[in-house]
Amino acid sequence: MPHTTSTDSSGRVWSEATACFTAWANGDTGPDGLDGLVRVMTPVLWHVVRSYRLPQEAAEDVIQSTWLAMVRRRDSIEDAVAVGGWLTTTARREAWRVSTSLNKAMPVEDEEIAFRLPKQRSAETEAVESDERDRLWETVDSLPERCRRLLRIVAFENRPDYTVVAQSLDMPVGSIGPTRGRCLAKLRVALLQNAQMGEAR
Amino acid sequence: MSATDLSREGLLKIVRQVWEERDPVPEGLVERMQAVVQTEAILADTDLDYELLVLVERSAELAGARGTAAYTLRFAHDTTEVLLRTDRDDSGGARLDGWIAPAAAMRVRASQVTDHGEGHSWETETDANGRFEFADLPTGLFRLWLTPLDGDTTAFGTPAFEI
Repeated sequence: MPHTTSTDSSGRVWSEATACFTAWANGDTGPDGLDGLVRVMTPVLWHVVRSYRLPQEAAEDVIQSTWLAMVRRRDSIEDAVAVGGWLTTTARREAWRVSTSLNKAMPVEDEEIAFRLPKQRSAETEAVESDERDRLWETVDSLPERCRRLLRIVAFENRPDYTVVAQSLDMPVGSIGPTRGRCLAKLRVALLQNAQMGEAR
Repeated sequence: MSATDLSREGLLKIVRQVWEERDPVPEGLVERMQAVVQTEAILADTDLDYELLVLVERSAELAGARGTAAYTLRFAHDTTEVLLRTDRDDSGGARLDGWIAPAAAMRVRASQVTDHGEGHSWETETDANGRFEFADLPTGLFRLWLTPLDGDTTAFGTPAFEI
């Protein structure tokens, strides 16, 4: 089976998760079965959980309990196609629970989470690419915080459960869809403007 | 930039790329989760029935002069609580101090979580105050199993944690 990372078209992540889950149900705990499921879905869960602004260790704890819950409640996932959604929804609920209890103790702003810088890549050949990358980062950062969080959720999830998303972003369920549309439009406009600025440089 | 795909899928792909670059999945996370899941899957096929303790609090102590990684974990299930404190000893091994409340007579097993399921394990028992300790464990991923000596009450297990 070809190995996927989550930058690939997200559709492949979900179908690969389903294939691995089915193989595991038939006894395969290896790279095309249980191990494969964990390899494909852990990066997705990471981004889902981190959108709740949890520190690294708390995020890892949430991801672990999600996986333990899946093994312990495997029989409750009746449809293999649903495994990806089951995992992200479980992780989202737990992340929300943990984030509310953490935030009571100490309010965390986005900016206070120390994002790790990407690994240094070798110099000049990367210059153009890194210029482009900086522009993308700036563009995404220029969006309102609610847009940034919502788009991160939507980007990494397959049909997220809007009830849980709404609860965690403190928005009415009915407004998630329209807000998502507006946020995408904002991003599109910002990218276009940034591209023009880039050309003018 | 002219090549940028501004369709819905294209935009979402850009968002994914940005987050993957600025907040990458921590090194080794996939492997740690694989080890945990394999261990649990083996366990799920046995008769061992246990209640999973949920991590309710994790607090790091300020690193001392030696840069030690001492921290405290608090787990709970219903009215049972388990408090753990890990620290490095002078020889580079790890020590683990624990308390179970309400105090109960338990056999406590610390088992290593490895790529191929459960590794070595170490055993001790709680004292009258529900206290137990392991001195000189190797560092790595561990889970704790607490089994009542009277066999009447529920057994407990913790998620994996690093010491």
